[in-house]
Amino acid sequence: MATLSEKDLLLLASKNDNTFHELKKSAVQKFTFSIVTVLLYIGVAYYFELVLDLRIALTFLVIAVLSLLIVLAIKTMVLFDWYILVMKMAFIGSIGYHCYFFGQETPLQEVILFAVLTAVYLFDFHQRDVLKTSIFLLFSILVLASLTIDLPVKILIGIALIFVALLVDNNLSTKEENILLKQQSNYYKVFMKHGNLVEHKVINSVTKIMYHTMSVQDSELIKGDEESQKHLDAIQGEISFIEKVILKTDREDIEQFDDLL
Amino acid sequence: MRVYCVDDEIIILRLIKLLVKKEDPGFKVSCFNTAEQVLKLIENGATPDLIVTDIKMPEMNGFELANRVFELDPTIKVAYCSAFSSLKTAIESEDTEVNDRQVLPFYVKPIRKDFLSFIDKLLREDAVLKKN
Repeated sequence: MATLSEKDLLLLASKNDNTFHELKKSAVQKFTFSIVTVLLYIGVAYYFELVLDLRIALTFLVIAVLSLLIVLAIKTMVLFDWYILVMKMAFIGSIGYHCYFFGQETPLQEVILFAVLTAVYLFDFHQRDVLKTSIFLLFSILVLASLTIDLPVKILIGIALIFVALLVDNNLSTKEENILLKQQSNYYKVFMKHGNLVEHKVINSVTKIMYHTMSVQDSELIKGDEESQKHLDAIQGEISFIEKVILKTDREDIEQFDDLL
Repeated sequence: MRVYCVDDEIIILRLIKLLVKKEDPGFKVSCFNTAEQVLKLIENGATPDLIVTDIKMPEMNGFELANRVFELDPTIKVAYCSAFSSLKTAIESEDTEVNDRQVLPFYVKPIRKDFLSFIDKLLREDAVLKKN
């Protein structure tokens, strides 16, 4: 067996973990940012004595803190995906609930609602999961429809959200593609290194076979034996074939592949 | 002319000896299966004209051996003989970095009859250089 270093084996083993950890790190950053934003919102609402805004902000704060704790505790990608979807719906649901329940909005609330809705769209939109994206869009439309604001404003908010989502989707996809390309490049290097180690072992074995063949050829017992000579010629023919395949064709292909990268 | 061949695989050293015996190339070849044996000989004054070393060896690889040889005697010529397809591949596979001095002539295994021509060519180049 060709041997890979511990570092390379760890790199291969971490293939699936890397994407998960990247996304988890990104979600933790976003939740932390949300908490800071909501705390600012609370500060402003408290300063202007806006009671409704304070109540909304406190709801957001609870959701954001709980979300941060849950994301920190999640260990698998499947749970992470579904939790992000539920969390996004919880945010939108809380906005809809407040608007419906109070039946009125303050100017600050309108701005914050839009900001929060936009922020919610930033979460994990780039995963291109049709089922989750559809559930999320349907839920968003329902909440948007339930808001006690004029229809033209609802349509404008809807268009703005789609625009922001597409923008974020494009940006995050490029970022993820870059991460994946870097990962692929690292895996390719490990793969090639493993291939080279295997080739190294094979070539060494071929050299040993050559030695044994030459030794047998020189043996006095074999010299007069036509049948044995035939077999020895066949072995040498196979050795030449291996040399031709491994030393010429494969290496030329690898060099061309290297040039492409 | 004296040549030291270093390889951790005994069979490969036997093949080299067999080739030398058959072809009678006009230079003397001594075979060793560890780098340390060669270094000890050089330290004791038994200096060869050329060292042909394998790269992947358990205790000390060919790159390290070349470096140590140059530290002891920079005039000794060193070359590699390896089952890796190129010097670049060998460097990557050994997870190492090499300096300019360690970039040396490279013979790709399996060892064939032209191995002795490879050694002969290096010795001739060396002889021309020394003459000049």
